[in-house]
Amino acid sequence: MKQRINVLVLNEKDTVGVAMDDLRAGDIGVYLLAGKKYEVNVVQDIPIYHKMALTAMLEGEHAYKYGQEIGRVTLDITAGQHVHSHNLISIREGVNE
Amino acid sequence: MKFRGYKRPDGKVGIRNQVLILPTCSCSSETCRIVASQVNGTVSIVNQNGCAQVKGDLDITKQVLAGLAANPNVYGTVLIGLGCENAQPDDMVKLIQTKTNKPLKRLVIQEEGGTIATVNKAVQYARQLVEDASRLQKEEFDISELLVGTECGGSDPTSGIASNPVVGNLSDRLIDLGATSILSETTEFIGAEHILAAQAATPEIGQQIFDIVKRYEVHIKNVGESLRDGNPSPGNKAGGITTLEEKSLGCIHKGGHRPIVEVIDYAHIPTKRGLVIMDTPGYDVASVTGMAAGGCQVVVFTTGRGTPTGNAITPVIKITANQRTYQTMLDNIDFNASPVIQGEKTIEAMGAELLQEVIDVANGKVTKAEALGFNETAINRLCNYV
Repeated sequence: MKQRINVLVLNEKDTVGVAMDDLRAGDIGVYLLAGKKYEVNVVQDIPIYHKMALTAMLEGEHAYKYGQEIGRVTLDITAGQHVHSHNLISIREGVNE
Repeated sequence: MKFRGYKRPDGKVGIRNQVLILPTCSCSSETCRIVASQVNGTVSIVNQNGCAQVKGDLDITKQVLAGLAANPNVYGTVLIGLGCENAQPDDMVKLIQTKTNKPLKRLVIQEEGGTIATVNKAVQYARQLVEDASRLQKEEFDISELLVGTECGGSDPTSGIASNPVVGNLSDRLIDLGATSILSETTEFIGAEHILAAQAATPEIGQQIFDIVKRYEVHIKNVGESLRDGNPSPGNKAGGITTLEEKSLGCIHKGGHRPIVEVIDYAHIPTKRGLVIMDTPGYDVASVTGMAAGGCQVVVFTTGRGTPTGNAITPVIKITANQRTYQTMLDNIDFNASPVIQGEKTIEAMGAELLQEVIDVANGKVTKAEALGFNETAINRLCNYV
């Protein structure tokens, strides 16, 4: 069955993608990278334009979007999870405190 | 490419032909409002500052006020002061005259004998300036005369993915045609300044970019506050932006890909053509005000959540790539970039369409914010009033 692309990945270094639709737990997240199609099982609801983990990330690791560091992971994350304020924090301001 | 505009005696070119009723301070703002309400063709702003300010803050306020009077969209200015304020009317006249030789009238409420006497005289001055302005005919000018400000406000992830890159493409196109584009919002360079520094035309300019970001971070820290408490905003977060770094990496796309040729202070006028950085706050209204004072004839403003922001003298073109927002905030949005998100159009194609929109607005097309008569004004500040 042809799966519709519903996740946008901006750079090959990225560990999060952007939901291009409201995703539901149980959906299959489909994204393109360098012309190749990849699939991730969506494990929780993710609102449109919010971030979905493409891979597992451990607490303390940095998450990547735009090929750049966007924050530090504060709780272990599995692929297909929603990545937002509950499990990701600014790196810069954390250092400043 | 060409547009039709108004030639000013200082050599600059405006795309609107306003008479500005300009308050030196908060205490003359209401008088200016009354004057502007009496004469069609005039605009006034609410100036919250101009008095009870430390020197650094006063300098910022004066630069903004003088810059607005010098903006090429302004035909001439009626400056109204109270008399006892920090931003002394005579000092303001001198500062405005260092930037422009356009028509300027000065009135001081405490000299005229109160508000009604001041309004009486100011209305006569304003009416004459409007009549003089109305005689001016538009002429054709090269697009290289345009100074375009770029701004984002009420951002969501579609801003960084689509509308900011479309504005970046517009910026590249403008610069390739000899015009100038300003990238603003220093707080939203945080986490992305290394990318901008690498885009600087010289290592010195690259260092200036690091310096203005550092200065901002130190400033906030010195007053015991954290940027995180205000930025990203609740709306940014609800839309899906988590951290300031993520917001910044989306924000800087507005600058496009040409070399950064100059870094200027808030509300100062660029001295070079090309891609210029202005050191402004992430607060969109204050940033737009700073760029209007820096001489921008038009501002292109991206949004994800949808915002109404306009400006008294500089048309603000609102653009979103969020299709839902385009539909729900149609009253306030001028340009739909959501075809980029839908994969129906490329960033390059929409950049070309946005350039045409800028030309159309330069030629006189009225933006949504203009039609609604919006004149939001905010002047950046360093510290408490004194």
